[in-house]
Amino acid sequence: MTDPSAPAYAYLQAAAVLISAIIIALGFIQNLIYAVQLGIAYWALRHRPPVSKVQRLWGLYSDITMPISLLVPAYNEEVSVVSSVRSLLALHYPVFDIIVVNDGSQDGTLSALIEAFELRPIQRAYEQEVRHAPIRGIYGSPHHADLIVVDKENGGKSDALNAGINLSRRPLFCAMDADSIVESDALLRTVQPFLEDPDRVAAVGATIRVVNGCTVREGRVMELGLPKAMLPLFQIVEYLRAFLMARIAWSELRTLTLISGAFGLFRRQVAVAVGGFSHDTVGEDLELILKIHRYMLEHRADYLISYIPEPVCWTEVPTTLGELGRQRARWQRGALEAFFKHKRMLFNPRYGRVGMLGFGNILIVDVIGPPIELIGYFLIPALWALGLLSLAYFLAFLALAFIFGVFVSVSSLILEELELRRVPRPSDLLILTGTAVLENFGYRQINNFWRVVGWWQFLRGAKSW
Amino acid sequence: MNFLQLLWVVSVALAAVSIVIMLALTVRRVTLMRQRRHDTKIRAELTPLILRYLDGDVALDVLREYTRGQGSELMGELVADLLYSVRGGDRENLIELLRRLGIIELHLSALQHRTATKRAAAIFGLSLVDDPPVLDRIRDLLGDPDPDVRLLAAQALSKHRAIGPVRVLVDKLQIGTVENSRVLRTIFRNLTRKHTDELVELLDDDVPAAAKILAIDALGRSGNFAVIDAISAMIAHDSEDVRVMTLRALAELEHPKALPTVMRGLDDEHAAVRATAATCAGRIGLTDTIPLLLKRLDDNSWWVRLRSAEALYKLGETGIKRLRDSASMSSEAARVAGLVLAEKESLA
Repeated sequence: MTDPSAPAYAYLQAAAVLISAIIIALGFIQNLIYAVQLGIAYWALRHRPPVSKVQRLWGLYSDITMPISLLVPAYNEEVSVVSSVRSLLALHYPVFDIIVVNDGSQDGTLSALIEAFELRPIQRAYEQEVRHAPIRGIYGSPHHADLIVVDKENGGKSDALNAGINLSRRPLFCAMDADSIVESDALLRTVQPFLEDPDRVAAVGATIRVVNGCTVREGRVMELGLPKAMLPLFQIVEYLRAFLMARIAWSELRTLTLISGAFGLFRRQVAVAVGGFSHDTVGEDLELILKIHRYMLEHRADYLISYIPEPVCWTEVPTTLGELGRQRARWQRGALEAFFKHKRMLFNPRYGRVGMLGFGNILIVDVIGPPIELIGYFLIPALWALGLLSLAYFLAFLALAFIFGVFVSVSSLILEELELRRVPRPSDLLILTGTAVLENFGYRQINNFWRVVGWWQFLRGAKSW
Repeated sequence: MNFLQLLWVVSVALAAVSIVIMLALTVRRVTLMRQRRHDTKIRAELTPLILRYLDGDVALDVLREYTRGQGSELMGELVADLLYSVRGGDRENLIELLRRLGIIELHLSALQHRTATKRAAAIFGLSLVDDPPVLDRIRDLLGDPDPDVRLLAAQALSKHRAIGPVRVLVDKLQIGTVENSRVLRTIFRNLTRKHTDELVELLDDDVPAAAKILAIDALGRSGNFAVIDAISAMIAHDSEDVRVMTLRALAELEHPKALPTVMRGLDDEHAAVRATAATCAGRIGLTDTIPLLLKRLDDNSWWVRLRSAEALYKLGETGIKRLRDSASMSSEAARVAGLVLAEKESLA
């Protein structure tokens, strides 16, 4: 090692301090964002109107709801598609139809639907308002007038959703995954912002929960529970953080930039005006919301993208590291694609808070955060071990990269317990508290690595799922 | 202590405090679950007792025993749930029960609570009670600072047709400026029996378009053909939303007197108005609109073309024949006519 009294060593030390200061400053800003989100989410949850029971909601809204089309893109869903559609047909909502789009499945998805619902070919007048691959056939059921099955050539989820948008004649549509498990009152709850402010609301998102560990029968969650494996447990805490803290906070600030692809309600007219879902990204859900913000702000429209904290939809999360890694890398790639596609919105006063706060958040948390944090994991301990950094730097980095995360994760759980109380048993609360602590020592860091992989894929121009 | 050391200390402290709070909440959950089990047991006992009370088989004092301590809240919730599932005499008796148990008084005092959610919950609890003093107290909340509370109060009052002058309601709720909820539609629809004249007057008043839309919607559902002229006059309004609602209301009334208004709507500059006019023509069965509907098959808006073709199909033999004639030509009109004919026939 260089002589500590030599000028070169002083330069090296100054450089080490500077790099570490940048890494720590970025970590500090990220954690500050989380802390602010927590505060806002807590305030919003405390001040939300009381949640009504479903019978009362029905009494309040049944005469005034807006008709909805449920768009269900299905690719190789032969095993589950029939039970999913059956449970969707049983949703409590006055006027809705279901448009299942078979996106060129290689398996028996279409034949399973034809057989189960005795489908027969029908014609349906539609205009190609948004782009999608050719439709091969449209099917209707003599027993369920509100079920339409569209068979089209493969084009991906965005393409399937676009076909559904074109065929829909309802003012609102709900974009979802074929394997999403939807609560029976989901539409009635999610539509509320549209009913409260019908002229301004363009889209509504809701809380998605992890179904692993729950008992599911006939497309319904019968009993709540926790998974045994650690990986899905970590994701439960992650989902709580993302939905209960971040989305509520951004929604309160009117800068929500993401409505999950698993379940979201949109005004059809607005989605058509922005060209529907884009084909050139794997983050089509994030990109659609950014497009809506951009379109509305460029047209000086008074609009809202809302969020309801009530859990309305359940999703199965990956159970293996490989599967999860691929998903997270893909999500990261989607975020980067959307960010760079709309980069002109960043810190652009024309786009108001969305440009300043929403895009600023994506820049720090999704764009520069992952690679800088990963560099920090290696660099700061090494620089400290080499004596180029004081212990204070090392501890500050540890605090920001590991310890503060414990506070954020456990606080999300506190929010859940104070305001929603959907974790069934006290023992489950203890397990989740332990998980919220543990996930900060390993899981979050692996996640960060996958995000850097996503960055690499983005730079290489990868397009696959 | 420098800033870096402070970061470490604060992070560790926050993490530790959050864990302690979570553990405390877990302990509280144990108590809450015990309480919930107890409540479930009481509910299971109470429901048949209340039903037997309604039949005269149980004395009031038996039920009063359950309202000690926190029991009033549970009883209030239970009776409120039951209220929504019964009608007529049973509902009256349940309200009388709430009165005798002092639960109505509890709700009335909660109307003054400093928290908006508590005031809202109290209105909810009282919304099926139609005593004039109760309604007067709810009416006071039309001036509440919280818009949700104001709306809930209006809703509760409208159920009992006790809302007072419509114009006052428009001003108090700040309809069209602050309040735009679709719940207002339900409130206005409840006004048609007692306030038809006021709703008609509102169409000429200097109020926001949103208030006129509500009035038109309500009048359209009144089943009263005497309001057709007043509604029809609104087709000349500047706002396309008002014109759309005018045609929707006329479609609800299904009266042929709407013909001139529908004809005018089919020539409107705004596509949404033309599409609604087409739907209205089909729903009322206005065969005189066929030439205009055929013209609209070439409209530059897909929705106007589609709704016009659907209307022609709905108009029966003559409309279908003209639709078939159009389908055999080569134009945009032919395409939509062919598509709609194919769709209807595939569903037949």
